[in-house]
Amino acid sequence: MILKGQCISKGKSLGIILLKKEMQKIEKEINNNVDEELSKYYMAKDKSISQIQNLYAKALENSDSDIADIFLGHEMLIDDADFVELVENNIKELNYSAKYSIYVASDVIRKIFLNMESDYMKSRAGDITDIATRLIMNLLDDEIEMVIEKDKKYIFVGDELFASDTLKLDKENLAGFITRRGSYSAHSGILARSLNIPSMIGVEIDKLKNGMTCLIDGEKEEIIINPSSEIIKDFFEYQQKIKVINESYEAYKNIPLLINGKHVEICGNIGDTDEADEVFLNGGEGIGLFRSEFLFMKDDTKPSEEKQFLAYKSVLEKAKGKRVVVRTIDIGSDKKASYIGIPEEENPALGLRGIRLCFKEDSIFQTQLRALIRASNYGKLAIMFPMIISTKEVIKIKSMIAEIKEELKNENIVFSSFEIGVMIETPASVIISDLLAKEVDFFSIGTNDLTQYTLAVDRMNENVQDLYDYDNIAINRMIKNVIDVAHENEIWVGVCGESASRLELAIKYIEMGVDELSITSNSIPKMKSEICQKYNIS
Amino acid sequence: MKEFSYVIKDELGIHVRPAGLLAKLVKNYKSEVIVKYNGKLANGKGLVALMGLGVKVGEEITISVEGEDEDVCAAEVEAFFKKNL
Repeated sequence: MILKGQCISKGKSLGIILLKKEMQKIEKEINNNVDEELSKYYMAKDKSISQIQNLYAKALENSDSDIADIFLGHEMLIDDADFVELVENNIKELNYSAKYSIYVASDVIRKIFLNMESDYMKSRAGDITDIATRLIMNLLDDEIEMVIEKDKKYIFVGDELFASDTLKLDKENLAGFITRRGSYSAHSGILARSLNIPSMIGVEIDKLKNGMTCLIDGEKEEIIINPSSEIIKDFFEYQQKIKVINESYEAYKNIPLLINGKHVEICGNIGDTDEADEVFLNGGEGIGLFRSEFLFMKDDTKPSEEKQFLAYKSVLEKAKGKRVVVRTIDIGSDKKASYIGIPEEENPALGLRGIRLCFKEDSIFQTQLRALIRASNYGKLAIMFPMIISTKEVIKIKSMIAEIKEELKNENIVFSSFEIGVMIETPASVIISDLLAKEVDFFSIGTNDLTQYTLAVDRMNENVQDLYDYDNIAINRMIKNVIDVAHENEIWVGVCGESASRLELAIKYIEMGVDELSITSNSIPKMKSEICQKYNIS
Repeated sequence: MKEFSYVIKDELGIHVRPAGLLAKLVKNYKSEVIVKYNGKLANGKGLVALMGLGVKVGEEITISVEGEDEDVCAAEVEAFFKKNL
């Protein structure tokens, strides 16, 4: 059986399902003795606080500062004047039992957070559930702990998972997380990404039972329940292979690729600021594609100029002078943000997306450009625009940039020089590449959409998947043409689509004269080692 | 009564940690500290109340401090905001 979900931390893993003990709905209970219930509550509170302090210390020991911060927050929240007062009043005025009083009070506070706008505040509702569960468990003297066997790997499952749940397991025992609710910034996501294990949200977890074996395939966003022995065997082989291979790649990852007399750069694609570290650890020679959408999709409000500026700045600083290509917001089609209203479209891939949406929502676009230009001061920035089909669009963007530069000068805000470029992903941009080349500093070929648009094959349509072929001669001719035009006009050209991660295609592009390939960061060592072997570079 | 305004600089707004520290700080004084934002009021002693205001980065709040130790308290609270938020 296969369950679907959304992957918020990539990877593949196999483990035993471990269900979190959820807080039960508590029925209304009336107390007979107010003082007794109050003292029960205070005892449970003291016990909870000392547990939280221990968890805090344990997190610090493991140098998990994010997790430690969460427990510091719990310690503060559990002692919050309003929360305490609510519980006390429930006991004193309404004569509820301590247990029911905590339950009702936590529900009030939880709703306050759930009704708030920001993702961060909404996530705090989970902290309240966590605290209330702890208080009630302590009240009942119920053990929250579960039996874990030392040398086994577990996939932790719950409606939501909190730091105090996940910390019960040693990192060595954790194979992944599966939750019904949650968001990218949920604790399970943060922890999973820091541990490099997969995490899925939005999963119908009712079918998962303690002790089941499951395989999480983050790439396919699938959970396979009770996988066949064949699938398990494949997984172990995959894991073993990955380990051996990764070791063999290490030697090559920092070697520059000098091929046919020129240096071909292998860069990494990223979707979030944190991923930049991974690119450089893997020997990436720059960021070839920074998908800036993540900044716009993770919250329910549009990101401020300052927030964006800090994000771009942090990546540029991590790059230490290596080039960072930021693609401006590419929302539309299958990527949505709640605060940008895109009408239902019959054919969204051909609809309001990429630069078209930017022109329509020009205040969002201007804010992004301003943040980017300000960040140019901190490294080697290149700004790239998606879905271009005419020089008119590029000229319009350039005049917007000129205006912003003027504004910044007037405000005495410093900025530096940067490159601008076009993402070549429409057949139109290929055909007018000679005209575009005169307006910009570089091209980056986005083979995913270029293939879809050139071959008239919907990437999402299962019925025509066999026709979706990066290696179609039409695509290769287009790429060759764009590379030649770029070089005739003395600008650099890269390929940042999925196809560049495939060795045989990467080599084709190198033979065509491409200057840069940008791929997923964890494929960089492999790609470099294979190219080195192919060209006898050592 | 002492009153001052402050523009929040923290990206997350008034989040758990500073709200908790502020509540702790305010409890040391006899004065009543009220944070006003967008027509809503929150007692400075309550971190959920402070967080519940939903103040976002770049937005202005007004803080009023009233009581026998209001001078010291207001100065401490203002310094706290500048340092932590």
